[in-house]
Amino acid sequence: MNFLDNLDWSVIPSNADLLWSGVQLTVVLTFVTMILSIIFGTVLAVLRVCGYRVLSWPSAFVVNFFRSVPLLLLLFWVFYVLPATTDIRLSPFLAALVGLSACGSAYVAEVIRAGILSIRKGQREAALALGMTRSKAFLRITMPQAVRRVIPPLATIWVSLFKDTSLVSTIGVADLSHAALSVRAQTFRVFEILTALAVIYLLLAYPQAKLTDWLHRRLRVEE
Amino acid sequence: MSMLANGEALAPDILVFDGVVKSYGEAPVLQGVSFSVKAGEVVCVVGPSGSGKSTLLRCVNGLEKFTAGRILFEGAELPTSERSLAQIRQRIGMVFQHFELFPHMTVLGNVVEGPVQVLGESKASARARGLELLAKVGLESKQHERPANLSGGQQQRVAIARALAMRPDLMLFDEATSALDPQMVGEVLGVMKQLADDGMTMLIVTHEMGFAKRVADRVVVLDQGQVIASGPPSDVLENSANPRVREFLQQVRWDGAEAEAPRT
Repeated sequence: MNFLDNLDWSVIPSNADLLWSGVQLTVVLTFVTMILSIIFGTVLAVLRVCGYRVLSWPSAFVVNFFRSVPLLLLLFWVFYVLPATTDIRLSPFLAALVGLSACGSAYVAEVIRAGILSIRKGQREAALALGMTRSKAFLRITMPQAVRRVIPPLATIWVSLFKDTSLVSTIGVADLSHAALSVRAQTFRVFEILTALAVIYLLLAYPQAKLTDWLHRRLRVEE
Repeated sequence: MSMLANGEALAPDILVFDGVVKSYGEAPVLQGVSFSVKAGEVVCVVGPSGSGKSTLLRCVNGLEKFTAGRILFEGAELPTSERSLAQIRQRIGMVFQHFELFPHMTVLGNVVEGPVQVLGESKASARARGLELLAKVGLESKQHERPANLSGGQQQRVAIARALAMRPDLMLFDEATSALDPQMVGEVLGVMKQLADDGMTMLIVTHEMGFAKRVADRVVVLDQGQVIASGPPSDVLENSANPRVREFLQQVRWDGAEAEAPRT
């Protein structure tokens, strides 16, 4: 009981501004990363299944490369190694965005590819039999069904990506984790601040998970 | 040709198979199939499982490629490029064994998809015609439903309406009733019969011998990738002297009895 009696939760409200700006940055980073990941992931997935080896092999390589490299290493590489070996010098935020999006795109690509492959061959044939071109059959028939089917796994990626943004604190991006860790360093209130950090992540992630569940129910297609 | 007897000799050939060969590696599926379908004619292709019936049908609209021989549609050899094939497919309707309605669209959405997306018709006129076609197959009231909420027989009737919406010159039916519960076979065959009476040119792969006998102008029996009999249903299905045809027909009757057993 002694331990609990000595807690001082006032460090949370007194650092609310700092934590709030961290929350904002984390949310912005998550949204922008997810949007970029969905765009690039979709492109990678489409290239992967298009049937032309010149396109599918590079896509497979890119996806497998970024899925295999730990995100932390990827962030370090973009932030420290890239400027040392090339003229590309990115701000911490941009470096974080590049690292997270590369990783996110790879995961999204795999999920969307699986979704596309899960649509029965007969659906595509029915579309072709109507006289659709292959690209139209893909856009009108295969892809809309695939997208609906992959919303749950995409939601999982989204939430895990949201939590992974905490890694960007290591390259000096002032996200929520970075803010919390700096408060901890100043106040030594380790238990309070880490608990608060966990609660904030939970409060932020839970509605996102719920939102995606809702989306899934709305868009679900029965066969 | 036997067609002279039917007085339809003047109708032009809409579809000609000329020595069509298809093999998967070493295994031959079609071994030089030749016959033709005239405008307005209903031709049923029957034969044992694995005889190549479905493969032959799928060669007509290029869903399957063949190895040798020619297929002529309306006098012109089938093109090989996907783009030209797409143009041909606009004029050939196809009905699949497993319906293949688009599950993410409504019933009416399925029917207007082709006219709007492929022919560039206006949504309003495509919907009006779509409703006519749904009425024709008896499903106007289901226009806003999703395919999943329909029975198999209803789904297959929608699939027929979807194909008709393209105003095809030829309709292909690939075992259209094989995936249906026995009590739903009749409603789909009824729609097909009506279509035949309207003068649609139809190439039908089927196991329904009774239907073939009543509706077909001509029956083609395929066995091991070869045409072993061809002619009016009465000749082929009742009076064939060919032992392979007789053997197949006995097999079918036996299978048919089997399929009806669980109905009670």
